Amino acid sequence: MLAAVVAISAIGVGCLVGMMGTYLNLDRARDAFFARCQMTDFWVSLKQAPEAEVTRLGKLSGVSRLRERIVFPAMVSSAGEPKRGIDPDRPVGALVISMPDVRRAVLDDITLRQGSYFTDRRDNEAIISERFAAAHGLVPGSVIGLILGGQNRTVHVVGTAISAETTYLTPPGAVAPDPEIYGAVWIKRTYAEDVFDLHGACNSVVGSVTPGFKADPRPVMDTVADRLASYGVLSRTPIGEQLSAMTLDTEIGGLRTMGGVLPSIFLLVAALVLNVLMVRMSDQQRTVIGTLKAIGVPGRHIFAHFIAYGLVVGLLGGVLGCALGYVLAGGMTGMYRSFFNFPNLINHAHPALFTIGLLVSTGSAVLGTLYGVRRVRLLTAGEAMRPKPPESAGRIVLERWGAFWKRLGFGWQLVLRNVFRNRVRSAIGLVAAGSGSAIVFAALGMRSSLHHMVDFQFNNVVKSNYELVLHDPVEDSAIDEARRISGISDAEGRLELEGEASFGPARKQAVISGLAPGSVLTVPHDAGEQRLRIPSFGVLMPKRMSEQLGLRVGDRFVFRPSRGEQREHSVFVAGIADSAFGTQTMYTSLDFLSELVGQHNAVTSIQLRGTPDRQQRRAFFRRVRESSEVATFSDIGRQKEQLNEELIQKLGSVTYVMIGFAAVIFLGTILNGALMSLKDRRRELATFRVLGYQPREIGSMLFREIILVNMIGAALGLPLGVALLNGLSDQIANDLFRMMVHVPRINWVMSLMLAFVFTVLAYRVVYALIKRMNVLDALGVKE
Amino acid sequence: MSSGVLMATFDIGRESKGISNDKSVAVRLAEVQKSYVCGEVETRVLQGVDLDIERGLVTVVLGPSGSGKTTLLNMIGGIDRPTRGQIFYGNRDISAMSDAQLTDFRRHEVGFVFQFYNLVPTLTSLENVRVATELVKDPMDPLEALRWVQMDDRAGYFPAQLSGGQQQRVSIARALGKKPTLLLCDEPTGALDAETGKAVLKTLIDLNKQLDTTVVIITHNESVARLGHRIARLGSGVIRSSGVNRKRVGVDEINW
Repeated sequence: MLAAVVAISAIGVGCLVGMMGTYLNLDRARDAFFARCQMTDFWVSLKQAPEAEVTRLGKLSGVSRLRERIVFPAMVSSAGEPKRGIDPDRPVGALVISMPDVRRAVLDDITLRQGSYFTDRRDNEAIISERFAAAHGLVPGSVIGLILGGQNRTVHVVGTAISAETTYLTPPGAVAPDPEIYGAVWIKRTYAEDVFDLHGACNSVVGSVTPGFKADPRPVMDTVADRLASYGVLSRTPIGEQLSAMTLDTEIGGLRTMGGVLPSIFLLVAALVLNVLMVRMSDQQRTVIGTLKAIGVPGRHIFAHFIAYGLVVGLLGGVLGCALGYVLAGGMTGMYRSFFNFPNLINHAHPALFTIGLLVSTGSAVLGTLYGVRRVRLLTAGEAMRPKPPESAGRIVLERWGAFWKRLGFGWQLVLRNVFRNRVRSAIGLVAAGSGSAIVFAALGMRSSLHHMVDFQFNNVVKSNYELVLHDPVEDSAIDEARRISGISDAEGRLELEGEASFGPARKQAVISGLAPGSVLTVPHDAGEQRLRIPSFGVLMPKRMSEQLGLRVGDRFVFRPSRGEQREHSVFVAGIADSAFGTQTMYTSLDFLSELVGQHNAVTSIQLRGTPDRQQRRAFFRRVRESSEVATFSDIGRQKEQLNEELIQKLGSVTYVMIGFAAVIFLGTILNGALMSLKDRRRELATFRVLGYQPREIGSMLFREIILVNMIGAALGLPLGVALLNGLSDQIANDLFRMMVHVPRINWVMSLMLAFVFTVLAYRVVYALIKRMNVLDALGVKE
Repeated sequence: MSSGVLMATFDIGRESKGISNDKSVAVRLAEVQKSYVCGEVETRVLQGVDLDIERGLVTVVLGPSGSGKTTLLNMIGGIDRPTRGQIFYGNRDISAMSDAQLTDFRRHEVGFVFQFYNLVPTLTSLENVRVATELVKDPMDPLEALRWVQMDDRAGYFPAQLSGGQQQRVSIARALGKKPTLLLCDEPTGALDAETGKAVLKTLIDLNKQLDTTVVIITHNESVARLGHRIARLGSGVIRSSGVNRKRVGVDEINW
């Protein structure tokens, strides 16, 4: 019984220390890394602006520092020897970023991991992201080919590095990093000016703000961007929407919330169970306490003894929990290390957290004890020395319905009497079973939602195999050309327009994607998985964006494109599309968008469906790698694979951990409740044995009690599980992806079945104890 | 009454060993020994008991505290096993039975009456009887069993609402509800005052008389022993004497 309380308490503290420890590890590593790299507060991307103009803006109010640079996506024409199993012809992309020729601390700096910074031996030197280097077997001294400024160029790798802004660098259109096909390449500023023909100019401005604007750098960013408007501002990104910063914020925020919610559930159950245990213990010790009082032991000494007991239980649970939590934090921090490449993302021991864990655990144990023993303390020695008077017996509420009560049968009447008579114990059973099943339900729901999310996206919405984003818009006749490429069976063009959507005070960076009439390679769907018709007027808005902007079907919002004529358009919401990824992309017809921007017969990206022929596919890949028009290439199949590997498998293991924790709640509380019941009713059950009841018949009575309480509790916990799952989904949603809550019927059944299995497992222990029960001891009829 | 006086009034004969062919014998104990081990200490409670309990009679096992009488009763009732020796119920060796068989034996043959009643506190009198009657195929009607012990008017009462004597009568009703062939009573009046105790004993004697149930009463009270058809005296784990009680008296004639 004590072991079960210690276990529940330990798991509660373990969750707290594990999750909060991971949170602190991640938070600390992020802050240190961001500070070291001088992560900026906003990013403004431009077509082309003079360097001198940007320098002048550095004096604007609210601006702390500004840096101008050159940033372009590029295809990698050759990149060393890929790891085994990777198609050597698979197109590889990179984000090319300029850095000062000579090492100096700058905003959005890099941290070298291998090799050196640029030397003055060559202009065409490059530093590449660490994971990209590892994925391609590249080391300082390697040579890679890049399509820069429309030409295939060779650059010499002098070092590998990591940077804050590329912490979560995803290939275009993907939601998870994939260093095998995408990486960051830093090149010398002068070299970048040469290859992109941007002498004395830049296309990216990054800035940090003065402390007063740290919480919301948007006003400063907007002032800077507005002053550069005449140079063609393409996008404005405050730190809250920057991919790496946003992903980290979501993860860290989620951890902080879960680090509060899950342990609270465990500690609540542990405190309740402990409370009942201490009440029971004090009842059992009643006569001993009475005798001690009678012989003159002061009440406070007796009281102190019990408190010490609660303290030991709490400390034991706390210490075990801290150890468990430390190990858990180690595992989770390791998992995050594979997502985020931080230099100091290691598992620290957090003394403050251990202290909180111990305080919470001992606090709840001592409080339970205090409540339990206060009754004994109030008794006089004489009263305490007498055994506790028998329970007051009476009829339970169900007996008022005579016909119903009689129909129940004697066995169930016994069961219900005991359930109703031990209200506190039964209520704790309900709370524990409810909490357990809520956790199981949320864990299973998370798993099925993640699977559904991937299936929805890749089976319903995105039906192409590849997507090419072009450096510049091309005529739609290019689609016919693409269809004729060997290895391609179908092609569709899209016109994409980046800009800002606003509705009242709410605003959001967004993309309107114009799809060809009858598009079959991009098929928006609604939440009910029904295909949506591409509107010829207005847009289909993703659900998350509609919620963020507060828009409904029929509303109008303002869209200001970031390229072309930057005048505001009033756009009609024709429908709401559900989307797991790309939650910033709205869909409309190509014609409507062309009309809106005044750019006819042009496309900015091409969706392709490939043929299964391997040779043809390799030929197509080679062609893409060498193309000067392709800015980015997405392999949809690879994205799906990557998602399954990275996201679902890793989060899937979290599911098992959660189910394991729920099992402990179930087993712990059922065992506690049943063991208490066995102790309380020892004499009664022994009498049953003497009367001729077989152990299985007695077991069946207890089993009915346990199963009744736990299955009702489990069923009541399911709505709580729905709330928990929705909370989780909200917590991990960001502009990159949103977990579409999807709960198939089987999850409801599975949650109840798992509750049943845990209950049966706990009952097996109880049954073994019934079989081992010593009737003579229990009845006190030993000579 | 001294043991010498008792010896003089009893027919003492040596009990035969092994399976009883004598249909008048309900239970036969043959060289039954029992010892308990607690740590390194072995306590020998019974040291070779031979005893026949005759069918349809009231047998009283008399002995002081610690003489082994409760242990003896536990073994006759199949809730404990001898360390050595055999116990036969008719021609069935209950000392060789498995746990399940012993449970089955208790279920169909034995009724127990305890010193402290052992009623289920959360059940009414009627339900306490039902706990037992549910176990057998052809039980006595629970209310009828309560009527037998004159507790039918308290059928809906919970144990906490009854006096000690009333609780003991309910516990007798529970025992007889199964229509047992053997009723084992462990100090049934031990926790009761004389008047209440006599009422309980009267119930047991009536039960034996009217239902022909074999009754074994263990007691340390020599007055109670005078009610038995047979008396076995137990001391230090052995039967000191055993025989017919020629001076059997009625319940009204005893006092303590």
